[in-house]
Parts: sequence; structure tokens; C-alpha cells
Amino acid sequence: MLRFLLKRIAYGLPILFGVSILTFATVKMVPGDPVAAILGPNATPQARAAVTRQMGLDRSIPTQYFRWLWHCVQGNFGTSIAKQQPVLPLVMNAFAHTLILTAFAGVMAVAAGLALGGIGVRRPGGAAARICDGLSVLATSLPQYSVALVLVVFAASRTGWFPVQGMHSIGSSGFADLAHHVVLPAVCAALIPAGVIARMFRSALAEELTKESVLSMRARGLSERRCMRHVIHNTMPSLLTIAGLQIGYLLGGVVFIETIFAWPGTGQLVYQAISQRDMPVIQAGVLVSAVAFVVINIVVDAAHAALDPRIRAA
Amino acid sequence: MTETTLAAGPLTAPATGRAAGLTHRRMQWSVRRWPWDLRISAAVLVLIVGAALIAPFLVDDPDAMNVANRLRGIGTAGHILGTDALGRDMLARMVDGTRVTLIAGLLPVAIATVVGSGIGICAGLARGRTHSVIMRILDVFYAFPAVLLAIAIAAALGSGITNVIAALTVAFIPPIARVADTETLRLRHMDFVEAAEASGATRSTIVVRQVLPNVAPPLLVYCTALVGVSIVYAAGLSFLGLSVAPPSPEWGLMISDLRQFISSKPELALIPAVAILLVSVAFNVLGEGLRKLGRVTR
Repeated sequence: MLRFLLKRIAYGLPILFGVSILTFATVKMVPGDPVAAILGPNATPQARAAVTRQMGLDRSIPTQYFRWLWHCVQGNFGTSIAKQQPVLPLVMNAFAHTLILTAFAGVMAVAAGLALGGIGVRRPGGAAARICDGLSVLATSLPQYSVALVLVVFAASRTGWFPVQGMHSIGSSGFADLAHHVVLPAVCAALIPAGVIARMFRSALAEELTKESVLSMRARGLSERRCMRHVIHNTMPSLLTIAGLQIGYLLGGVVFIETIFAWPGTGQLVYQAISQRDMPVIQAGVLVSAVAFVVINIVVDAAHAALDPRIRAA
Repeated sequence: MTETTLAAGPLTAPATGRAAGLTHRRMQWSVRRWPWDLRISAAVLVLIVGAALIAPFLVDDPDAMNVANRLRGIGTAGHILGTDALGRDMLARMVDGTRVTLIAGLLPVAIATVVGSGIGICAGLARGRTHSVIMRILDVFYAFPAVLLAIAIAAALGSGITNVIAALTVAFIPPIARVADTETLRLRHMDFVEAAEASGATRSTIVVRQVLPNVAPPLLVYCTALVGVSIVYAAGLSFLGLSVAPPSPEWGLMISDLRQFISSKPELALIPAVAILLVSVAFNVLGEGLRKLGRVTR
């Protein structure tokens, strides 16, 4: 198991390296002169030279990259241009909020996905199964921001059932208040993963049910319930993988939801940074989400291997 | 993706298709076999694409302002879908905006399909080290959720529709390349490919005659569903202010403009939101339906 884990981490490291290169490259693609952006057009050549040196822009691109990487590894993501604060605490704080939202959405998605997929496989071709199949296709194709707007109008601003935006009401910080605020954004975020999980769970169940082991269990007179317990048990490893992957995607994919519901997470931070052209913040937000995604992938694979010995051997 | 679909090469065509006077492949994709959900979504898309093509003949100037007549609701006389904050006709803007939204959705997938399938087929045919290097590079792009990658690139390049298309293209190449690679790998050891190899066909002949025709159907099915995703992302980037500049009517931008009036006139922001939803669902149902069609024959 340890060997598998080490191998998996060794595989993840070059990917993280590539992710950092790509993130660095996006900043290098920004058109225009960064020094002129800081000093304005009327700067003296001396001032320009000083800032260029201070930012390390007089070095070669690879040197600049490794310097930047070294700073990132130490947790120094630079200073936000718009807020004039260190980027790290800004991003980490926002990332924690995104994690809260993702956790709620993940639980909802797994519950809904299991229900939809499970019903879909019970009587294939039946009305309930067809409705569930249709719903899971629908869920994956709903644009998050459209759903978010519909929910804001009909479940929040018109009816007042849920707060329109934010994470807490002013002056309160309890869990109940947070839970009340998180419902709508989490429902929006849960839709796509729920659909994907439902479809995967359904096809895994259907495949598992055709196996001879199921036939033999039935032949030996096991009750349908105990039969299903074995079948479901066998689908768990792949279910875990797909759910983990989907939750990983959510960490970076909730920009629209966070923007509409004013949820103070990485997505909203990146959105604000875009309108202010605050590249250090965009860069850090993207990097943190991508790194989190790679790490989640490793964790999921490790859990998969722990549950399923066949994976460890491969 | 099941094997049976693609094994439907010249060797395995069943007699039923021939009897109907059609080749097996034509038979398989024939509209006559389409279930109703596939037909409805295709009809919706034909209507929308049609509206986009003849927009200038359908509606008046989408940029004509009339501030005295601003923020009218749905069903106002002369403005069936109401008017926006500057008194511009919502129907005209919606119909005219279809073009930009569709182009920003279709073009990235089209370009990414060409580039991605090229990369994928090359990777699938190359052996050993080349294959793993290409796949590792794609894995790096995979580490970014597609939305985030597109946002990062579009934000770096600056706003504008060309940059949005470029950003989405980059985001879609890896998944398409992966599908093409998987299909090519599977085909490579099939009897008819090995037979062609044994009879001395060059690599390029094999790509054109054996690989491409068999990789194309699953790839096109995958890309149909991807167009839905692409339209959602393109409008989303425009919602974030990364795409077209203001007076242009574009669905995502309209959502972002009308969102501030959501408490007084909620239906206005919902019009473009629901339109994007419809198009996205239509493309996904179409993709899903085509996937099932491709799989049915056994």
C-alpha cells in the first residue's frame, strides 16, 4: 500500500510541476508592460530600471520562473495589486469558504446521485427509471448560472425562503445561519456532479448485476436485499473515484455560483480580480484550485487502492 | 462506448441493413431510428440556428435605445419580451445575440476537434515513450477544471470574443485528444487494421482508411455534447465580463446586465438564462441520444 502511495505521489509531482509552469505562463501572456502598469507612462528611466530589477524582470524567463516557484513553495504569492495585501491569506481564507460550499454540495450530489442511479437500475425501461435517467441527463446539462438565477428569483427574492446572497446574516455567525445561506448555492453546485454520479452508479450497478456471482447468490436463495448489498459493495470503489473527481472539479468550477450568490470563496475572489486585472490574485486562485484538484486525485486513488486490492497490484 | 459500434466495419455488417437497401452505417444513424427526445432537441437546434442565420431579417435594430420605455416586462405591446435598462427591445437582442453565442460555442469545439483528434490519433498510433509523454502533458491540462483554465487564459489575454474562443479551444483539446487516443488504441489491434498493416498499407493510409472512419463516430457524438458545454462556458465567460464589449447583444452579457434589476424585474434576466439552458439541454440530449444510437446494434 505504501509503495502504491509513493508511486502515485511520484506520478503527481511532474503534473504539479506542469501546472505551475502553465500558471506562470498565463501571467507571461498578459499583454502590456507590467512596469509601466505600476509606474504609469511618465516614469523616469531610473525608476523603471529600479522596478524592473526589484521584480526580477531583468533575468531570463526560466530564472524568473524558478524564483516565482521558490516563492510559491514558501507560501509567498506576492501582493495583490488592487488590495495591496499579501495574496496568500486572501486566497486561503477564500479557499476555506469554497471548501465549505463544496462539502455541502458534495454530500447533496452523492445522495441525489445514488438515489437517481439506484432507482434508474431497478426496473430498466419502467416509468420511474426513465424519469430518473432523464433527470440525470438534465442535471448535467443545466448551466449553473441559469439555475442560480432561477433559484434567486423563485426561492429567495420572491418568496424569502432563503437568503439571496452571502455566507452569514449581518451580526450572526452560527452554524444554522451558515446552513441556511449555503442551501441554494450548494444545490446549484451539486447538480452536475449529481447527474454524473447517477449515470456512473447506474451503469456500474447494471454491469455488476449481469455477473455470474449474482446469479449464483440468487440460485442459493439469498434475499434480494442481501444480494443488492454485495452488488452495491462492489460498485463502491469506482463510485468513490468518480465522486472524488467531481468534488475536485467543483473546487475550481464554482466561479459562477459564488459570483451570483456573493459567496466569498476563491471563485468570487478570482472574479473580482479579473475585473481589477489583479494578476497575482488570479494566478494564486487558479494555482490553489489546480493543486487542490491534483491532491484530491491522489487521495481518491489512495482510498480506491485501500478499498480494492486489485488496484494496488496494477 | 462499447466495442460493437465500431467493429461495424465492412466485415460485420448485418444483413438487415442491406435488405433495406442501406449500408449498415447509414442504417444505424438513420433519422427513422431517432427517438422522440432526439427529434425534439434536433428541431429546437435547427430553429435556433435558423433564427441566428436570418436574425437581421427577423428583428429590428437590437441597439435602438428608448430610455422613456425602459425595463418593461414580458408582454408589453410592441415588445413581446419587454425592454432592458436602456429601453432596447429584448426580443431583438435575444435573436441577434444568438449568433455570437452560437459562434462562441461552436468554433472552440470545431477547432479543438481537429487539433485534439490529431494529437489523440498520433498518440494512439505512436508506441511507448511518445505516447506517455503526450499523455503526461495532457494530464497537466487535466489538472485544471476546464472553466478555470478558460478563465485563467481569457483573463490573461484580455477580454474579447477571439480570446474567449482561444481559451475554450485550449480547454477542450485535452479531453477530445483523450477520447481519440482511447479509440485509436482500441482499434490498433483489431483484425482489419492488422490486416491492412500486413498487406503493406502505409501509416497514412491506415489513418485515413481504417482509423479515421472508425474514430469519427464516437468522437462526433462526444463533441456534440461538448458544444452544449462550450456554449455554457462561452456565455459564462461573457457573464464574467471577459467576452464581447457592451453594446453587443450576447446572452451571457445580458444576464450580467439585467442581474442588477433582479428584485424589480426578475423575468428579464431569466430570458437569456433560460435560453442558454434550453440550448445546452438540447445539445446534451442530442449527444446522449446519438451515443445510444451508436451503441444499440449488436
